[in-house]
Amino acid sequence: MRLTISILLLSFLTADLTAVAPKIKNVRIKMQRGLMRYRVESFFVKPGEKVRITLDNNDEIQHNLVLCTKGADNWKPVADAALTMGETAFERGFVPESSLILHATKLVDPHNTDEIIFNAPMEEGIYPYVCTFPGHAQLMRGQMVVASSTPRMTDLRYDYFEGEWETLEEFAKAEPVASGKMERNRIELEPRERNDHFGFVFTAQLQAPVDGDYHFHLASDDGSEILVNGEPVVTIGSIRAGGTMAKESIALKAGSHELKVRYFDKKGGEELRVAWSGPGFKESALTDPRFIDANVRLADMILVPSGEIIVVRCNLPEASPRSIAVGTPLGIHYCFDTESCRVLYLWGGEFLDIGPERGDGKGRGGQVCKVLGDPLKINSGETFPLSFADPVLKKAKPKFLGYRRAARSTIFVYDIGGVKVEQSVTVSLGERAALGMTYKFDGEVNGPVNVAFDEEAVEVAAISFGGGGHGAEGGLVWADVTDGISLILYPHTQ
Amino acid sequence: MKRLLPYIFLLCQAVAEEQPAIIPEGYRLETIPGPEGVVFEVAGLDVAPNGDVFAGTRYGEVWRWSGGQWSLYADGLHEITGLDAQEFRGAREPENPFAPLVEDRIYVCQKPELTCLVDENADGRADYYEAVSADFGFNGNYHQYNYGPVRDADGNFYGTLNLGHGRGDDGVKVRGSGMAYDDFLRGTVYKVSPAGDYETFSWGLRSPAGIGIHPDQKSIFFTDNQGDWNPTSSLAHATLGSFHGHPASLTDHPDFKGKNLDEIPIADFKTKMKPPAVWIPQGLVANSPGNPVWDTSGGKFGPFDGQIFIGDQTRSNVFRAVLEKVGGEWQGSVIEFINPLQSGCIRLAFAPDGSLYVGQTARGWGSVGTAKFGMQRIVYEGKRPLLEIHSVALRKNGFQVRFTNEIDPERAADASGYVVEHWGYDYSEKYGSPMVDKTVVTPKRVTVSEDKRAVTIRLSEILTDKVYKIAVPEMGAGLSTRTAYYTVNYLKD
Repeated sequence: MRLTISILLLSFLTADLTAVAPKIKNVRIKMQRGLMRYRVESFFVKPGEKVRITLDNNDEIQHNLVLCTKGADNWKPVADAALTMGETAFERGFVPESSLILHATKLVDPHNTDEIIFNAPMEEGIYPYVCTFPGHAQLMRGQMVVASSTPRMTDLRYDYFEGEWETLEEFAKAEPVASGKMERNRIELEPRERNDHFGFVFTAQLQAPVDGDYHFHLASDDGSEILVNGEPVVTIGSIRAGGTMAKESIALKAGSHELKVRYFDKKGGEELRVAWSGPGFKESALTDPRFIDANVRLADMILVPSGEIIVVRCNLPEASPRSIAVGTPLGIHYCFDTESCRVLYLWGGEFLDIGPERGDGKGRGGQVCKVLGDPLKINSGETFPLSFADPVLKKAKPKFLGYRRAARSTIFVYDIGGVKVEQSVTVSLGERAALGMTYKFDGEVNGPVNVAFDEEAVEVAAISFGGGGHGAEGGLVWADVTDGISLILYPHTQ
Repeated sequence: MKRLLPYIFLLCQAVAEEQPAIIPEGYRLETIPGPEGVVFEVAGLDVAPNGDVFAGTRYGEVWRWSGGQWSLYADGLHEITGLDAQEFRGAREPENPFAPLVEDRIYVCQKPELTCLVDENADGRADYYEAVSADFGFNGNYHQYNYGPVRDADGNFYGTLNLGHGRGDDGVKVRGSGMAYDDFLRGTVYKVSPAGDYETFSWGLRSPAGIGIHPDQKSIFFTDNQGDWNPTSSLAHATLGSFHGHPASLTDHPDFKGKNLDEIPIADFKTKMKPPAVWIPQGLVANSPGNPVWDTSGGKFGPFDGQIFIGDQTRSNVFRAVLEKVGGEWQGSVIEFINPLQSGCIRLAFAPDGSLYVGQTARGWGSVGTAKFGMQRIVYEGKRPLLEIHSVALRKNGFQVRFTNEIDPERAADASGYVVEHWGYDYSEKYGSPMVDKTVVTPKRVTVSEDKRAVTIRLSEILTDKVYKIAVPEMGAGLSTRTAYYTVNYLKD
């Protein structure tokens, strides 16, 4: 009873607050500098809603924004009329006399702004806007979409199939082995029981906010198809490996439409990406949203070694931007920093998300990659892990020379005071996970060698050496050698 | 499907592709499908002496296009933005099966390093990734690209280093400009000897997205992108110690070390600056040019032998730069060539057969071409003689415009059919410059040469530090473009 009262109270309060707050929809439109395009090329408003459009001219040339009456193509006669305004064109800011114009900003100088405030029309539909400065209209325009609902997908359900497919047609005779509702409102290749020879049929309702052209985007590995109201819109009929998103358009009336997505995987990789776009909204993902408006696959950005060792130069956390990430199929990975010439840390699990650095196929990238696991630092000390008794070598800084990729190991080559060091790193899984390291010296070493690691992180053992004595204690390995030293690191499991 | 397997495609020439709006007669644009399922943002491109095409991607892979088939040569690199394949011999298929296998070497510029990719066992895949040089600063800022390399006759490597993007208080931003000097030796041209010795060759660069070497195998040219201290994009000739305008890199210059660059008058920087060989007008010709390449095909690529070709990422076009030596320095004009292509054109490379490959990416800065990435090729078939502007040369009292063929002398001699206009640019810390003091000039007279292949446009005076737009009239047989933009730094004696 008390609960009901508080809910009632709360709803009164929120109702009150919304009544007090001045409701205005703010739309700030900047320029894509030098590209002759608005940054905002479409947006939604509700019928009758109060709207403020601020034209923020961050470009180096003048622009305006002229909002036109309902009709996707109404910008064109307006832009054409602006070309014939004669001598007073600049005075009038290239805004011609036209019944097709609703509102217009003035001609805005570089690094200035202007705004228009108005009540959105009650009639739902597409209201284009355009820069009428001569030569700009071809690229510089957008759409204000008046609609009481927004685009969305509801009632997403799946049928899951198992079997051998070569083509989409074979769905017709297949029986689903499982069916149900997708809990997250997102198309995913889950729940599935296997990674090859399976298929899905997803069904859902799509809400189109206004009449207009809608675009459907599809990429898959292997075949797939999008059907709207039973009509095939985009089809990828063959066995293939992801790649560029195919795009097709269809005119839809405002309201609800049936979406069906069919997908099958024969063998190898499996991937499905579906998106749609339309009046007022850009490519909107119906699958994992990170990889939708780019021609990249999840597998391109989330690296998981299978079969081969992956060696990637990249900017890693808590390492120099000149680092190398090495991922092994055994699930143990490490970071070698080429500036300090040492293995800095290890981690287990999936390997690496290089999306932040490689731009996820859309941005400029250049951010630090994500290590998919908890790094275990093995060489965090100030001093170089490898040290020589020789006084000259003791002071010399390492200089990175390169790396060699082999089937089971990766060999890092660097120079220390004229001695060329080849450090081979191998991951193995026996009773304990282990990192094998072999240092080979090309040059005069003159005396004993020490290799130091973080004692709390790893246990070390010397396994072979070229002559003289050797030993290991705590995190330190020492050997009285001239040619090289081999050792094993056993990470302490946490 | 396993993405590392080579994918086989047939280069389908039978299907006529849709051709760009502007393309000179006799030229054809072909699209070469990239390896399937690959993020194929080509920002490093070269054709080996045997005709194999090597494409380095921003994703970090090197792909080889040979015999209509793609194969992966190297992977896991840190944003490749330049590639040199001149040492590649294709040792995989030696003519003499008993001959010892030769290592193959491909050079790439990736963000942290100039790297040699060595295929030691001649199986078509690089095994040893050799650090040739990393003696410049790199702190991870996304804009710190490393472009190149090109090599001179002595085997030295040259590359250009982008400034960082000035985020917050990072780095030196002279007079508050956009791009920052945020690690050592950024904003320079560097030279690395075959033994690996590093030296800074030139200073004052901003976003030098393309480097090229003249067929003399010693003169280094680079393009720089419009922005702060770069009023519009440019093609410049770098000489040892030259300064090209962006003051941020002077932080490391021996003459400026320890000085507050904000307190140095702009005029002092301008006096020190070596003007670019040609300004590339923003919006008209290019907004973000890539590497210059020289047509040395001896006519296989058409009538523009010896001229420079450059692609542009934003406008997705390819244009020509036609240079001459005036007052001992290179200067000249830029002329539209093909516009638009399918995606941003950041890299060009000529093949031994005289065709021109174009490496493409649209990511990060947008491009008119709608494809996100790819590769295309421009082929000259030259079945019929074409009429185009061949070149523009400065004269003592005007310009001589040469055509690739005979023109209608009557039409060509009518001075009223020509439009000549000039303007300057403001040199400052602001992002780009509008065209300043735009002035229309009425030609005094136009004369046609005896061979009917050139006109001389006489003007009452010629000003230095100006870009001259020269538009010729329609000449009958459809010029694909009628405009050239000539940069006057020096006057003809």
